[in-house]
Amino acid sequence: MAAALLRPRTLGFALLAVVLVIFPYLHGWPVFSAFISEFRTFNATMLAVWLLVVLSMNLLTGYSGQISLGHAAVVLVGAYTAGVLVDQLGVPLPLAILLAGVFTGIAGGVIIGLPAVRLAGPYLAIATFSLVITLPQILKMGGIRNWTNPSRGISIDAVQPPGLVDGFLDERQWLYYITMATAVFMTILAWNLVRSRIGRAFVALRDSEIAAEQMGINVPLYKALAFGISSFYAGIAGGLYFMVLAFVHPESLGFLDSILFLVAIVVGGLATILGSIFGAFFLTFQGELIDELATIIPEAEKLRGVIYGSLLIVVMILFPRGMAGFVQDLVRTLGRITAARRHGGLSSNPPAQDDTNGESDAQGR
Amino acid sequence: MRTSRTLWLLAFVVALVALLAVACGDDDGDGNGGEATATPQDVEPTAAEPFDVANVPGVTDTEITLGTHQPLSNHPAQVFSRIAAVTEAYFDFINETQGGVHGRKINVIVKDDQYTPSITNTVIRELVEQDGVFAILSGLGTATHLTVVDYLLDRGVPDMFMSTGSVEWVKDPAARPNVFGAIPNYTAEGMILAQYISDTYPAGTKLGIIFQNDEFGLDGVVGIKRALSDDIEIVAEESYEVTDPDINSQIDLTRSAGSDVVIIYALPSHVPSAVRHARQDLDWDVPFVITGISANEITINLAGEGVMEGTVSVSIFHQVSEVEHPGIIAHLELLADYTDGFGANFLTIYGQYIGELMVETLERAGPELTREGLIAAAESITDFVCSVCLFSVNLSATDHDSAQTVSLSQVVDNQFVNFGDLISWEGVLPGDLTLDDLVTSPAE
Amino acid sequence: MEAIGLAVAGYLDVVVLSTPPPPWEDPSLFAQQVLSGIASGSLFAILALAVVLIYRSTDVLNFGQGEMAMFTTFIAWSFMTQMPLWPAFFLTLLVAAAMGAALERLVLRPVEEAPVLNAVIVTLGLYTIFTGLALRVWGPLPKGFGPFTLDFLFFEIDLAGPVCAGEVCIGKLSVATFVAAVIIMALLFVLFQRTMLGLAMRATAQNRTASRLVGIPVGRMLSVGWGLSAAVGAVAGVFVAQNVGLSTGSLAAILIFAFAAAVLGGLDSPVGAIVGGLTIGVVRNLAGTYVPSEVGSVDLVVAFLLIVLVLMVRPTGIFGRRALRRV
Repeated sequence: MAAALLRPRTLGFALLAVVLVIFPYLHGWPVFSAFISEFRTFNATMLAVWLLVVLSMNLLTGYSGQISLGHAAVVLVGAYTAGVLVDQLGVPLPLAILLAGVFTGIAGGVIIGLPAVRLAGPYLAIATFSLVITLPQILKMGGIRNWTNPSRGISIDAVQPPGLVDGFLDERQWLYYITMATAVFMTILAWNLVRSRIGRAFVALRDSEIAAEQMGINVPLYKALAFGISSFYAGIAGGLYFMVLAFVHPESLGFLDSILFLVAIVVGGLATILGSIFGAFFLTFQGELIDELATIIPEAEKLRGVIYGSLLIVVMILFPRGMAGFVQDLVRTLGRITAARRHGGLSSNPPAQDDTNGESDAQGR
Repeated sequence: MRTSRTLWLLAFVVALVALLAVACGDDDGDGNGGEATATPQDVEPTAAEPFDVANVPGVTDTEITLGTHQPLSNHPAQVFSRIAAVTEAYFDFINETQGGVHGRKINVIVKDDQYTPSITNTVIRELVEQDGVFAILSGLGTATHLTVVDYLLDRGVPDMFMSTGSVEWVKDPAARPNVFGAIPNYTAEGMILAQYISDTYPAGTKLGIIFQNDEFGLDGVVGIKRALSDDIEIVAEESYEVTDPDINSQIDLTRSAGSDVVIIYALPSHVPSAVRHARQDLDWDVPFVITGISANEITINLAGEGVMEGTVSVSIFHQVSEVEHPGIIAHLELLADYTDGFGANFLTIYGQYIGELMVETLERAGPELTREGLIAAAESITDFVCSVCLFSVNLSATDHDSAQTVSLSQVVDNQFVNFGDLISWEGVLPGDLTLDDLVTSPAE
Repeated sequence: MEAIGLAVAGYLDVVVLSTPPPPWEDPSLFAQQVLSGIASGSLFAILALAVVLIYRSTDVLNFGQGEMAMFTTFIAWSFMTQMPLWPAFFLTLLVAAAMGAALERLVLRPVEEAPVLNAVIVTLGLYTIFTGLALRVWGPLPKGFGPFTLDFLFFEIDLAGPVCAGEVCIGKLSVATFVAAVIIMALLFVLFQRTMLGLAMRATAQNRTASRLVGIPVGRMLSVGWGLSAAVGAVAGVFVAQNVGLSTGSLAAILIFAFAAAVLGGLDSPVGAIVGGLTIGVVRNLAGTYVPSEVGSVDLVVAFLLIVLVLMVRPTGIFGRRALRRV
C-alpha cells in the first residue's frame, strides 16, 4: 500500500492536485507573480468549463462515433436553463446548475438522441447543426421569450464566496474552486464511465454497429444514452458557464463555438481523456497562441486568419491523432528506449503499456 | 485491480479536500499579505491622496495603454478590422507629431474576439487583468459587448466610445457610469427617419417596416413608432433573424401589403440584397429608408451599380466624396502617411473620429491621469467637433451619448451625400426622447 | 407614448401583430413567396452541387467550399477588369480547378489515412485561410459584381431585371441561376453515370483499397474530384455574387444552407441538391409568411425541422442511396 502511494503516477496526480489547489493564489506570490497574472485564474476557470464541454463532445464523437455540430446549442440550453431557474424561479445557483445538467441531459437524449438513432456521419452532423441555427429563434418564440429575455439576455450578480470562507478567497478564486472541483470530479467520472460496460458498448457501437448488435448491445438505446450523457455534461458546463460569466444571451454561444468544439476534440485527440484536457487547453489559449505567432512572424498581424488555418492544417498533418496521440507516441518511444537500455539492447518483450494507452485506439473508419 | 482503483480515487479526493482546507488555512497568514498587495484597481487614489502614476493601471510617465476587442479573423465582420487600424494610425500620428498627450504616448492593444461573445469574455479579461490596460476603447458589436459590460463596470474600467448604438449602453448613465457611446442610439435614429417619412410623404402613405429580430432592430422600431405621424399607416412589420441568408420574403410581404415606403433596420449583410430584390427581381421602385449602420460603401457595392440610388439614411460624418473639405483632405493625408495605403471609406473616417475623441478626452483629463479622471474628463466635453464630424460632442454626468446630431443622407451617383438641416437631440436620454426634443439647425 | 419597450424588453410591446391572408384569398402573395423561395433556393442548390460533388468523389464535407468559391469569384472579378466576360469566366474555371486539385494534393492527401474528422478540420483551416487572404488581397470593401449581360454570339441576355406574370415576378438572374444549376446537375449526372472517369471516382469514394486493387489511380481521382468541385464552386460563386454581392462573407451564410440542401436531398445525389435547395428556400419563405406572428419568426425552425423529419424517414436524404453499413 505504501509502495503504491509512492508510484510515479500517484505522485504525479498528487502534485497535480496540489497545483490545482494553490493555483489561484500563485499570482500573488513573490516569484510566481512575475509570470502568472490574476487573469490566469479566469483562464483556469474557463479551462474547467471547456474541459467539460470537450469531454461531452468526446464522449459523443470520440467514443461513440456520433458527430455533433450542435454542441454550442446544447451548452447554451444548459446555460439558459440555469439562467431561467435562477432568474425567474429563484432556484439557488448550485441546484440550478445540477438541474440544468439533468434537463439538458434528458432533452438531449430524447429530442436529439432518438431522432439521431437512424442517422450517421454528415447527415447526423447537419441534423445536429440545425440546433445551432434554430436555437436563437426558439429562444425568441412566443411563450418562451418571456422567460429568456432574448434582447438583453439574463444577467445575475456575480457569485460571492459563502461566509464560511469569506476573507480567505475573493469571488474569482471561489468561482475557480467550485468550477475546477466540478470539472475534476466529472473528469474522474468520465474516466470510469469509458472503462465501464457502457463505455465499452459505446466504442463497440462506434467501430461497427452491426458487430455491436451481434454482441447483444441495444443499439438505439445506447445511441440515445450517448446523447443523454453527453448532453448532461454539456448542460453542467453550460450552467457553470452562466455562473462564471453571470450572463447569458441567445448569441452567447453560436456557430463558431460549435465548430471550435469540434476542432478542439480532434486537435486534442479523439477518444482519450488526456485528449480532452488538451482540447480544453486549445479552446482556452487558441487566441493567445495566434497572438504570440503574430508577434513572431512579421506582417502576420494582418494575416491572422491565414496563420490560424495553416496551424490547424499543420497540426492535422503532423499529429493525426491529436496532441494526446503525439504524447502517447512520445511516451511509448521513450519507454522503448529505456527498456532497450535495461535489457541491453535486446527488447524481445516490449514494456507493459501504460494504462492510459488502453483507451487510445483512434477512431477507425 | 478494482479495489486499488477505488482506493486511489478515494485517496485523491481526500487529498484534494485536505489540500483545499490547508490552502485556506495557510492563507490566514498569507491572506493579509495578499490584501496588502491587492490588485491596483482596489487601491486607486482617492481625491485626498496625492497622485501617483504607479497606482493607475496602464499608465506610466511616458505611455498610456488602451485595449479593445475587434473581429480580426474567422468571421465576416472582420472587414471592420480597418476601424481599429485607423484609430491606431491616428494615435501614431499624435505620438509622432505631438509626443502623445501630456507627454504620454498612446498605445492600443487590439484583441481579436472573432465576433464571438465567448472569446470576447476572455480577451477583455486578458486586457484588464494581464495587460493592465487603462481603459477599453470602442469595443465592437452588441452581442459581444453585452457579455463584458458588467464585468468592466465591476472592475471600474472606463468603457469608452463603443462601436454599437444599442440604447442599453446610454439609457441610464447612473447605472453604467463608466460607459460612453460613440454612434447615434438606434431609437433616436429611428425617430429621425420616421420624422423624415412623416414630413416627406403625404397623408395616407403606407409604410412597411423590416427589422432584425434583436435589440438593434427593436430599438429602431421603438423610435420609428414614437415619431411617426398619425397620417402614415404602418401596413407591414416583418422581422428576420441575423442567420437568415436573405430577407427577400420580407420584401415580398411589404410589397403585397401595399407599402408606399419601406424602412429597413438591417445590417449591411442584408440590406443590399433586399433592395436589389425589390429593384431587379420585382421591378418595384418603392423608396427605401435605412438605418445609418448600413448607410455606407459596403451596402452600395454589395447591391451593385445604381441599385441603391435614392435610398435615404442618416450620417454623422462628412462623406468621403466631399474632397474639398479640410477634414477629409487631412484624413486622406493620415491614411497615406500612417497606414498601408488604405483607401478612404466610412470605416477609416469612423476610426479617425474615435481616435480624435479619445485624444480630446485624454487632453482634458490632464497630466494626473486616473480612471475617475478620465470619466470626469469625458463628461466635461462640450462643443468638441472632430475634423471629419458633422456634429459637436457634448457630454455630461447625465448624458454619455456622444453623437446626438445627425444629417440626413441619400445615395446619389453611388455615393451617400448629406442633405438638409442638422437634427439634434442634445442631452436627452433615449427613454425620454420625444419629437419636441428634435432641434434642427442649418448645416454649415 | 414615452418609454414604450424600453423598460419592458418585450417584442409584443413593440410590434403590431399582422398575419397575411391565407393563400386562397391572396394567391399572388403565395405565388410570389414560392417564386422568391425558388430564387433563394437556386443559390443554395448551385453551391450544394459543389458540396455533393466533393462528397461523392472524396467522402468529405468541405467547410471551406463557400470561401473557396468566394475566393475564385474575387479572381474572376480581377480577370474581368482585364478582359471580356467569357474568357475571364473560363480562365477562372481553370484556375479554380487547378487550385482545387493542388489543395487536395498538398493538404488533404496527407490526412487521407487519418479519421475523416481530420480532413474536416483541414477544410475548416482552408475556410479561415481563404477569408483572411481575400481580405488581405482585395480589401474590406465588397466589389460590385454583375448582373452581367451574357453575349451568346447570335443573341444577348441581360441578366438584370425581372420576368413578371401579372404582379408575380422573379429576377432574370434567378432564372439564370436555376438554369445553370440544372445544367451542372445534368453534366454531373452524365459524368457519374455514363463515363469511366465518373465510375472510377465513385469507386474511389466508396472503397479506396478495392479501387487500388482494380488499378484505379486513386490519388489522381481524388485530385480530379477536388478540382471539379472547385470549378463548380466557382460557377456557384459567380452566380451567388451577382445575387448578394461579392465580399469576404457573402458565401459563408449561403454555405450553411447549401449543406442543409445537400443533406436533405441526399449527399450523393446532384438531383437531390437541387430539390433540397429549392425545398428549403420555399419552405422557409412560406413558414415566414403564414405562421402567425404571435409565435414569433420561425422560418428557420420550420425549415430545419422539416430536414430532421425527412431524415428520420430517409436517413440518407430524399434521393440519397442507402449507405452500405461497414462491418
